[in-house]
Amino acid sequence: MDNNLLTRLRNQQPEALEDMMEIYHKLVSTIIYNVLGRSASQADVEELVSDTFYAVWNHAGSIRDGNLKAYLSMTARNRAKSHLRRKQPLPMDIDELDLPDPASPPEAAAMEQERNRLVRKAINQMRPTDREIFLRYYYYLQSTNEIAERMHMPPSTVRTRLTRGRKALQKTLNKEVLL
Amino acid sequence: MKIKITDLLDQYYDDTIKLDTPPFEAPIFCENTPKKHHMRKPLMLVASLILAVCGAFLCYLSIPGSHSGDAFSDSTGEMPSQVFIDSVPEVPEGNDSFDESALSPETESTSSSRFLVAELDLAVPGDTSGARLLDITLDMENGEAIRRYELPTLQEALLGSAPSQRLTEAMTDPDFILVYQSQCSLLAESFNGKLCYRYPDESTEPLSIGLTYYADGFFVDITPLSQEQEHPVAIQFQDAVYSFTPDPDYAPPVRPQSLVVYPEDMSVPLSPAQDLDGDGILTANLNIFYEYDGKSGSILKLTLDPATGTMTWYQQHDYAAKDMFGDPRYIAWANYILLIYQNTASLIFSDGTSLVLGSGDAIGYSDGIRWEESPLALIAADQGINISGKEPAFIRIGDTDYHFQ
Repeated sequence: MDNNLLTRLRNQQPEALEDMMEIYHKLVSTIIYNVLGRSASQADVEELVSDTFYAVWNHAGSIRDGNLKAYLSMTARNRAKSHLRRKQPLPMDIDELDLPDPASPPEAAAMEQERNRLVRKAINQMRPTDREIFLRYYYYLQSTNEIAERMHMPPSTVRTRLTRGRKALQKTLNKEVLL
Repeated sequence: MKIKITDLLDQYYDDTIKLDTPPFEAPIFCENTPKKHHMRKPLMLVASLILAVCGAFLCYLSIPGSHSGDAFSDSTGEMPSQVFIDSVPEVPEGNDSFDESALSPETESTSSSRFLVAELDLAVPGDTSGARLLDITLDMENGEAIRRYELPTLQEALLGSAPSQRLTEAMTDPDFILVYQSQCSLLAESFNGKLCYRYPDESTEPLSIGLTYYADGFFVDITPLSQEQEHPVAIQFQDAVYSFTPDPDYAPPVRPQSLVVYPEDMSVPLSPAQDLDGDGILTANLNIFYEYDGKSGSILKLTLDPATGTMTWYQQHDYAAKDMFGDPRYIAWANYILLIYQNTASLIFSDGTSLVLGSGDAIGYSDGIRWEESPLALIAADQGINISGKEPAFIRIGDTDYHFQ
């Protein structure tokens, strides 16, 4: 069904946009609401939901078969992240990783692809609780206090496990780079 | 080059976290009405899109040479100027070759059963020793996926359901470690990204298998089911489709306790009173020579950060670190070396209590020095010892005591 929808989106059929919104509206609005936080206004969420569908409509030609849901989810998350950043600096943006500089544009593209694979690998290898904390913080941009409340644990535990997640990610990236 | 972790995840797709639903219902669609004819914003969007397409077409006709996407964007005004995703995630191979007829009618009516079992009995690709992925059971009540597999050295083992005693015994056997770890790694690598759930509407959801080795065993995880999703009707591995069937008699496995007990807080402070050189780190110079499997090296020292409880082993080996990569035997071998000391190396506290030291769950290389580190608090928690505020006195390996500097 997704591939059929994607084909119609690629052909820029307006009904396909309606169908996509009907199917994925709840998913997209949930992601955006969770990134913006509980104080998010309905207007902001609505605006970003529309932006997300618009962006996917415009770029349907570059979405591979089977990836519509993933593409929508990532677009929703990234739109909400940019929206937050425009308002104020994100506390989690302080955390950066050191990565080697690419020597040339072709190498940069290859490195980015490899880096994305390693990021997925590192996250998949985290313990389930650590992974949830890591994703809630860095992916859904939730504060440590918010995560602590949702997951019923002390904020210090959340921070400690975030440290462990960061280390694991850096090590996975470093280890493979040394190869 | 520095990169923010938040940006590093821009290409990551997650559907594992149970998210809060917005408190405001259906901000775009109107309830209780035929959706397609009563949408407010979508209709506006569609109308503006039609106008945009017409506008772009007019621009195309009226402006010579402006046949690019820029002309399209400029003519709409409302079009987003930036898109944040440059590429799309990988999908499991064989997604497009799904054979709908492979789903039997009864599998589509199994959603009321708590446990759904898909029998795969798949050989690990590229493996010649006989490791197999036997089946995957979905616990629809808890949203968990339980995987059962068979390994050549532990034929009856069910990961996660193996008796903890059996697992503990096996972990002390170096041959078992060598085979078990290499097989597990191979298993995880082989199936990652190639398995996916199949839903009644033919949509798919990739599964990934995570595998982590800890000092006290292996923890294996598989992508949990999203609560948002419909019940999957099958699992697909490349071109092959395996239907789920309900199993009312299925007994969910009980994981060994040692695999699920984590300390609540890793930052257990230790007293730094033994820090004789005042650098904030306790260092025990060991310089222990070892030989194994034709290789040799030295465990140079062990450091302990009293503030975080992080313990690091430093080793010097007589071979290039590069040679070790890609060969799981060496990773297993390094763990074996440390397991030797797991049985004989202890951290003695000033109050006389002791903590058996174990191997680490992380491996790194730097300039020929091999190091592994373990959070001491984790080891302490596994042994049921509270080390908070305790004062480390010295390290004892075999009959020798190594004092801190």
